Amino acid sequence: MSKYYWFLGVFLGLISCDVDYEDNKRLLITGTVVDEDELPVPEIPVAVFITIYTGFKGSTDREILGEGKTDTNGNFSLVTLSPIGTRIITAEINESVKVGYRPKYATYSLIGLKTVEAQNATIALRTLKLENVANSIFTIRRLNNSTDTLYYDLKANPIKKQRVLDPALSSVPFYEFFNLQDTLLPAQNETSVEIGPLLARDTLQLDYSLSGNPNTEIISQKLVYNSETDSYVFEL
Amino acid sequence: MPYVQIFTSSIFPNALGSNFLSEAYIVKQGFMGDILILFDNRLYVGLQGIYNNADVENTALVGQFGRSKIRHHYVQGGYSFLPRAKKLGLTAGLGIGYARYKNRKGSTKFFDDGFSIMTNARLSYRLSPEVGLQSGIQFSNDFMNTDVAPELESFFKNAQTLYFSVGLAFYIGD
Repeated sequence: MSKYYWFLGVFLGLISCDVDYEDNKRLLITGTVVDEDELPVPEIPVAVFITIYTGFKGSTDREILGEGKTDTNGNFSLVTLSPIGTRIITAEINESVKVGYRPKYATYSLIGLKTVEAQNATIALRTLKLENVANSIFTIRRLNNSTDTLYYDLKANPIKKQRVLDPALSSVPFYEFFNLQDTLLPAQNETSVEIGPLLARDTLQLDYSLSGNPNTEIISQKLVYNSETDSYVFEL
Repeated sequence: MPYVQIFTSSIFPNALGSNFLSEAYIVKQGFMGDILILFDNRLYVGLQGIYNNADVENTALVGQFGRSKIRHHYVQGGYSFLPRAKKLGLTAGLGIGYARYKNRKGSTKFFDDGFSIMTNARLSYRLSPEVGLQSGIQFSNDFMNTDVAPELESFFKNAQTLYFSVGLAFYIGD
């Protein structure tokens, strides 16, 4: 039996993706976090990490390099380890799993920090503006006597916003979409769905088709947030 | 006729000042070993090794890793205030050497290193011609090679430690 454990150990060792760090080196990552009114956001969590592949099927994990919080002036100054090689360093501000997370702000990811490292082992990030997050109501309302079933696919920005600093990583999407799929049944004149949290003032993308005309191609429509009614409305 | 003294000690380190070691680490008890060659009644030269571990308590200050093995190796020389025939011994010495902090994060290892100087004083009491008890105090200053941002240099470039030690002394060839 022990030889199987030995084999398993060797095998796991071969496929593991350990990160190597530079000897005698630390990075200093600095920045200022403000809200949409340019006011400093104190005590907000900041984490710096690299993504590593942990095994088969592309599963990934994070290797934290350093983490902390902003001070009373919204400034942060993190000391981190310095990974060797072409690792992609990401800073994440206001991550939802961290102590101090503020639900009213979107999580902000900055990807590719290594490209802005100065010669003096400093990565000075500019002022980082957190966007407000809103919960909203999405309403579908019938305006005629149609009884077709409406199949809709709602795409929206999640609360996480990404910004890529390294041009070589431009294939990473600026936004990640989430999808909400549902139907408006023939007996319903109206349906409402609470969506969120979303980046406030964002647009939604609605793709829809009707059952009475199955050959209808999927139609896309952009919906604009109405701050007065705190809602997105789609009228059929 | 030169003779040899060997000291084995438990050490109780205390990080001093405001630096990465004192602010971010919890330094643990360790081991110190000395081998000294006394050429006459008063002067000696020798080697010293210090081995202790430390846990990283404040990762925001030094980076996200868990613990370090701290190693010091010195060449030392000094003076004995009391003649070798006495049961009581009192020495003071200086040393220059190498400091290495072997850091560990999960299964990954990396290190910080630099050169180090130290000064010490030791009191010993001879129980028999071969064996005695000894206790000492030692101050060391590590000058680290760590490459950091200019505003962090004073924090990362120096580390001071005060060691209290107690242990056995062995006398060979006296």
